[in-house]
Amino acid sequence: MTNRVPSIACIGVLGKHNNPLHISLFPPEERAPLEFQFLLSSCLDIFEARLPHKTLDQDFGLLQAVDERLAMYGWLTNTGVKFVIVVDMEGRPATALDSKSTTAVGIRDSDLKPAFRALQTAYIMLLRNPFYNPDDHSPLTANAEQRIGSTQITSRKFIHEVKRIGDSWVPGAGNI
Amino acid sequence: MDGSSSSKVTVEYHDPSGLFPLVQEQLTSRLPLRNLHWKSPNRPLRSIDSLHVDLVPSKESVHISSVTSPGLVPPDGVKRTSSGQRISGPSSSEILRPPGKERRHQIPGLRQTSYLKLYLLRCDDSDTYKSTARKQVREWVKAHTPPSQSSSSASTQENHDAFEWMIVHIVLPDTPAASQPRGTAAVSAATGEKEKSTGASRWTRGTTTILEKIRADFNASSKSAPDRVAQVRLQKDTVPPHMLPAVSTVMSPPISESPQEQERVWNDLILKIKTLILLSFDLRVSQYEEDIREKDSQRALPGWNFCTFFILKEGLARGFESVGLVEDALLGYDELSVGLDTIVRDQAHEDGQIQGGAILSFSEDVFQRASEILSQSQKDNGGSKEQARLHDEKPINSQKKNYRDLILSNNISIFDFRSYVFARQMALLLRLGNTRSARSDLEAKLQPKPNAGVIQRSVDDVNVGTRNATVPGTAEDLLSLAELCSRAINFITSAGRLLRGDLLNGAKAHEATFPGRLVDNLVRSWTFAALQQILDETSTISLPISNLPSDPASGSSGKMRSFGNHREEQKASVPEPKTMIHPTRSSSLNFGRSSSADPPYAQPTSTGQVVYADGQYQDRPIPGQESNVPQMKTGLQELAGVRAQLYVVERRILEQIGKTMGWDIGWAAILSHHTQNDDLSDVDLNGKDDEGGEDVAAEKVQDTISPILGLSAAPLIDATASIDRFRESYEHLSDMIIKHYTAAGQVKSGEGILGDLAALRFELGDYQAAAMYFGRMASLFAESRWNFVETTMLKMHAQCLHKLNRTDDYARALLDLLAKSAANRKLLHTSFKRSESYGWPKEWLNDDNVNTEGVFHDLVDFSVQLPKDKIVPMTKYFSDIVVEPYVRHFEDKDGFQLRLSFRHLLEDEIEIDRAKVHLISANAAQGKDIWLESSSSFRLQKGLCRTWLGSNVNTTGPYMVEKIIIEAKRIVFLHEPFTKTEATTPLRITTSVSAASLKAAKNARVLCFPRTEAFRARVYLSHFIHIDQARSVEIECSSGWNDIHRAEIRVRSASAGLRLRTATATATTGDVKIQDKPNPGVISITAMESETTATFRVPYELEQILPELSIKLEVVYFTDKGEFQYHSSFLIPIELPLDVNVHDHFKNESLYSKFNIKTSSNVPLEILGVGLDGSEDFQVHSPKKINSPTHVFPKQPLAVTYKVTKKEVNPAKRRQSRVPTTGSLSLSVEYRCMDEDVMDRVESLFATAVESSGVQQFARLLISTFTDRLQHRILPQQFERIALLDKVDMGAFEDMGWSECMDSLPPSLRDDTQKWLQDWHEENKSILLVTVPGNESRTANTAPASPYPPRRIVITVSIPQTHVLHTASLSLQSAEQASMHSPTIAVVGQPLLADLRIKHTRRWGLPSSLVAAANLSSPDDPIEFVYSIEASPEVWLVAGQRRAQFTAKEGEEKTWPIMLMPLKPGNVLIPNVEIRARVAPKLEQKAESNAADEALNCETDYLGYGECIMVVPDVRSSTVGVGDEMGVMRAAVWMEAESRLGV
Repeated sequence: MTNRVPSIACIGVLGKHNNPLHISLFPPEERAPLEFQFLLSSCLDIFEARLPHKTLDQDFGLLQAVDERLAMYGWLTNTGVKFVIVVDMEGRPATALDSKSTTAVGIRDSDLKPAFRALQTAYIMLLRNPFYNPDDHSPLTANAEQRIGSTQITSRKFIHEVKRIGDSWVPGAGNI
Repeated sequence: MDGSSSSKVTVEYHDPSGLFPLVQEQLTSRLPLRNLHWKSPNRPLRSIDSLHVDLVPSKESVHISSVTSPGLVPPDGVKRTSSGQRISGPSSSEILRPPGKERRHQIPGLRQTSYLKLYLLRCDDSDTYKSTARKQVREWVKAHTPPSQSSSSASTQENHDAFEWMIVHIVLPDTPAASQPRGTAAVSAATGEKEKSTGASRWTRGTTTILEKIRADFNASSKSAPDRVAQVRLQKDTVPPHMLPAVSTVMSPPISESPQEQERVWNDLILKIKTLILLSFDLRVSQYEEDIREKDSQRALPGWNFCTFFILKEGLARGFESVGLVEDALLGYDELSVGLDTIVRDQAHEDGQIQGGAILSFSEDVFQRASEILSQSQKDNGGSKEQARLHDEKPINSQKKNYRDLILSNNISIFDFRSYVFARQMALLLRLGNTRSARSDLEAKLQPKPNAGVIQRSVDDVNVGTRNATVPGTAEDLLSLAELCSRAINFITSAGRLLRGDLLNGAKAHEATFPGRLVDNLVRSWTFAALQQILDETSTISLPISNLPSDPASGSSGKMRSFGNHREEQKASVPEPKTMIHPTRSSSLNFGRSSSADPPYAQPTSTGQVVYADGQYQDRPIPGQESNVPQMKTGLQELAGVRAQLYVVERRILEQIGKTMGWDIGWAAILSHHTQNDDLSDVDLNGKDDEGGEDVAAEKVQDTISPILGLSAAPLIDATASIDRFRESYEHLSDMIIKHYTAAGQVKSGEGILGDLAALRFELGDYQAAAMYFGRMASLFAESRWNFVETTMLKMHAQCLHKLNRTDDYARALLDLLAKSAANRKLLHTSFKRSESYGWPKEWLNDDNVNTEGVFHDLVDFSVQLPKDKIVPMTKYFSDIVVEPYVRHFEDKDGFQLRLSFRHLLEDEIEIDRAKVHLISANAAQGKDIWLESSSSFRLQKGLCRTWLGSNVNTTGPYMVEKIIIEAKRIVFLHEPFTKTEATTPLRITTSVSAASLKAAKNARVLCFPRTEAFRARVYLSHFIHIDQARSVEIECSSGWNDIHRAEIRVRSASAGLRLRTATATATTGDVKIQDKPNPGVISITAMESETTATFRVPYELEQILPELSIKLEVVYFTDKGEFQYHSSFLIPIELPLDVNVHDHFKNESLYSKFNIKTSSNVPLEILGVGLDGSEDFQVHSPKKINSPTHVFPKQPLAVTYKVTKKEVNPAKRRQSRVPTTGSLSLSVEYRCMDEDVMDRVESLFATAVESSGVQQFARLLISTFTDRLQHRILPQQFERIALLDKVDMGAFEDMGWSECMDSLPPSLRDDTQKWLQDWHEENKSILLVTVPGNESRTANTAPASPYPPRRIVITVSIPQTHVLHTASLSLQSAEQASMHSPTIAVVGQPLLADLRIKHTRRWGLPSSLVAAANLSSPDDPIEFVYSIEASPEVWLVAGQRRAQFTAKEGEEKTWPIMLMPLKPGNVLIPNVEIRARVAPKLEQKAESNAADEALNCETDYLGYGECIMVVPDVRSSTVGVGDEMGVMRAAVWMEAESRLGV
């Protein structure tokens, strides 16, 4: 156990209307999708509860520690899109490059900032794509148009970018 | 801080005289100290509302008192504090022990040493003072003066225990001192109070009182120095007698003090105590702060030790705590916690090369405990021996171990260290939160029992109960509790990890291994217990639901209390760094939101809850919740929220334990049950894999050890007793979570848990409840498009419904599910065509990815049980639904096929019973709907599915697909490509059709056309029209290649007012008989061989004049190959294209009729023949026959004149035989309308061309389109030109508008057809219409003669009736005629003799009518007439009977001589003769009856019409002289004239 270091277990992008826009699991075969969906869904409440007290900062920091291993961190954009990162404290085996400090101390909010920033950048890049219409991914329009199915983001680039972020994050990494 | 804060300081009293019991009551009644204000230079002003004071005797005084007055010191002195609490006073040795034991060389914390030392002085009189007391006091002061006071620069070390001293002079009654007055003015000034009554008035004994003496002796001289002397006087009754002076040597009466005075005195004392305590406190704090600063600055130096620093800083924090500055204390601990993080991080970085003191990576005792557990389990299993335990029910306790010693000795592990820090933080937060536990804790502290390891602080302690009753729960600061919870959740989760590391490291260090399961269980157990502890501690009556769970938990822990006294060295923990500190939130914004949102779930859960046998878990419907929650407090929601999170963590632990037991629960359970290859089971497998190599070995051991080894948290052990227990625990926890979430207003989180409960219900078989949960939640999640969750729920919901046998709902749920699944596949197909090849990152949880394998199949199978067909929209389940608009014909029969193609998106193969397509006509007027059906059932596989649907209908025209229906058992998938409105109103009419749907409509248009060989029918206006008879339409049926057994022709009128008389229909041509006419509009006919044609004539009637008839024809015919239908509708123009005028002229013997034939429209006619048929009575003499067709143009009518003579038959016989229809002739005209003709001919030219070409298969389509286009292209005006030129200008291919037709051809054949058409147009730019019979040199583009016979119209021409005809003639007798041909010559002025002859005949009229008209009695009666000669008087002079009356009978001829004299020369018409009848006036009655009767018709055939006479002057010869006078050739002179008569 000691030779395992934290890694991202799940990245969730939740839309303004609390709809899931994107969910990635790392590594996918170890994570129960349903469980993580429920986790993300329950995050929304925490966002909501904390929102009135929030100042300019977009970082919500630690939302909730779920158990010994999993902890959820949140980030809210100005447009109401929420990024949630679930960190598994024993997510992957340690390599020589990993510092050992995190095992003992845990991770700090600031450790996740680069990941959130990278996510936000990815999302901004997605929005800059003229073929991505955020309204198409809102449940309101979907309901109005009686579309079935989810409103998730299907941009390949975005998904790959999220995967890259999820894979490359390590505590204390400066830039992702 | 609120009033009941638990701050406490120690005040030591030196009581050499044993006076303490005397003042104790007074003193303690004024404690705790209130409203202390502490202002230190670098801090804001702090207020300490109340400060408990622990009064302890000094060592010396204990000794003394026990010696001197043993009876006075109560055993362990039970005192009453201000709050009425019973606390037992500690003996000074006990309270002083810890500081005494502390090694002074270490840097101690802010210690519990006394802040103030009191000297209780008994000095009964001044003498005593002088003699002994002063000395004693001086010695005491000397001994206890803190160095800081003696010299400020003294060793700073001592300031850690800085204290102040004070002398309290206790005046016993009846002593001299008592009679001394109270203090001086100085005293009053010092206390800031004026003591008037006791002041200056009572100077009795000279100079100074004892008090003043003491003051003078011991108070420092400087003004800033505090007053250290106080005096109290005791009442006599409070003093036991033996304390009183034995001999009352009172000289002066004691000064009796009023109660106010006593109060003032005591207040003075207390004020001084307060001041001094603050003084010493301030000293200590500044001392510590200085120390800390100093130590902190040395951080970089080698040898710096964090532990030492920690103790130092903690000392300060404790100091703060002890005076009630809990927030400052907490801040201090927070800083320490961060510092610890830094150290730990640094330590990790430097790989054990620690600079600031090593922190151990494991705790020895933890290892010992764990190995003990392990060995116990290995040694004996059934032993009744108590198992070793790692923790008790309160694992977080700062007093579990002597942490501070461990820290000081650098012998503490990270886990312990953090545990300690967190325990301290928790204690502080609890104090801030003012919880029950903290209060009881405080009370416990106020009566510390040194050896009580675990202080029993049961919540249902009697004291607490009463306390709670008196202090309402509203005093609790819920925000602090919430803060504590949220810190706790972070700490406990990370500490769990630390504990795990601790265990593993410990094992490694001891070269032992613990089974992985043991480690897991130990950690889980510890975590669970810690969580439960937090939950218990933070339970509050403000949150009633949180109270409930704590009770059973504490109750259960009570069972384990036997272990409680057995003090274990506990694991403690290290709190998370500062990251966990969230700003506390006030919940004003979402205040009260949640309480009303309490979902109705409580009902099923409470009913479903099971009461445990031992009463541990009880069925708790929460009726009181509603009433309690509304009075919400600030922070209640936060608290509920974080408590819910704590429960969530607990539940997860429970789940994990269950998993190790092999018990799945919740979703995991049902998902793994129902889907074998589900992801969840994958997790389990891989989850073990990544536990690392060392655990693989350990796993083998695991098999031998109990899965619950190492679990010591009571609820966990209980839950692992059986799977039912496990489930119940799980359910209980879930229930708690939901209640808390609900109270916190965090609905979404609650829903997730509710889902677990639903899954549990499902697992337990309570499908009813589960179905309710699932149904509700699926929709909740669907609303914000949590697709994956929703579908999972839907699946379960469906299963529940299935189990409950709710067929309809079940089907619906499955359909919903499939719709989801299909929607996903659809999306994949449209937008990620390439995804198959590229592959998405598998990390991406495709929310749409729904596994519905088998569901479709189930649904279809199940649907048989449905009571009725379930109609669902097809688009939800299939994509790319399209009917290819290309008609394909059967190879061997009539009818056509269309291909329906759609994509089956789901995995399941299903059997489609039937597929149907419904076509409706795109033109409103036109025909019937057509159903196409698949011939047989077929199997649907994933992917594009194409199937041919056939119809037995032959028809031509554009159709639209209205419905597509696929039936699989009782599930009917229906697709309507156009919305209802669009479908019902044809597209041409719809105005607001969007461009997109128009385009779609156009694409979906099916242009139907039959096969060339197919049956065909044509309805046209009968070529023969008899104007007087009912007209008829003819139906021409060509059987084509069908050998028809029988057929039914249905003719339907589509025009209003049209009646088709099918009852009188006849077969005109062809070898076909009409068999039956069962119903109006239906004609059944007998067999028709192939390649035959039959024509039926159906007469019709019109109620009103219509320009055209709209007739729908439907022919159902039966062949060997089944039943077929032919549909068509026809629009037949019925306006006669020609007008015929008749002009009649009667002669005596004959009648001349001139027929003027004109076109009624602009279209020229080609007249092929005109004939007038005679009748019985009349004979017709026709002019020469028209040989060649003649064109009749609008401006050039054709006139034909016939002479009609009456046949000489027996009049009598004639009259008898056919009276009424006498004299009708019929004019028959054979003609062709140019438009019809041109169309027919061009069409037949085209048809021949098509049928002999390669595009023959589309012949019917092309021909009909061609005709249609042509009709629109050639305007009526153009026919005149066509008729004149015998040429039709076809125009270019592009102008013909073939494109629409081309679009409906299969793309593969489209180009060929188009090319052929282009070629045809190229060749036939203009089509010649010359039809010269026998002209063989026809060019290719000469249209053949019309295939149809010309039209023939028969017009009955009635012979006009005239009653009387007079033939009049004026014959000149004496006229001379120059020649035979020259006109008669008359001379002006010469009379001409003429005979006027009038012949009377009545043969052209009917005698009967004559009788009526002329008012005769018999037809042969004479009738009176008047003739008159009409002549212009300027021209003619008429002599004789110019006007005369005559009577005439049949055949009579009369003659009158007339003299005429022309008056003017020239050509002159002879005078006209008019004859009028003079009808006898009718009788009255007759006039009435025959008022409207015709007048007597009297025609005159005047033979002299237009006869001319040349009138010449009466000159035979004239002589004219022509002069040539005077050279002017001008003069002509009439000489002479000779009259003609004169000759």
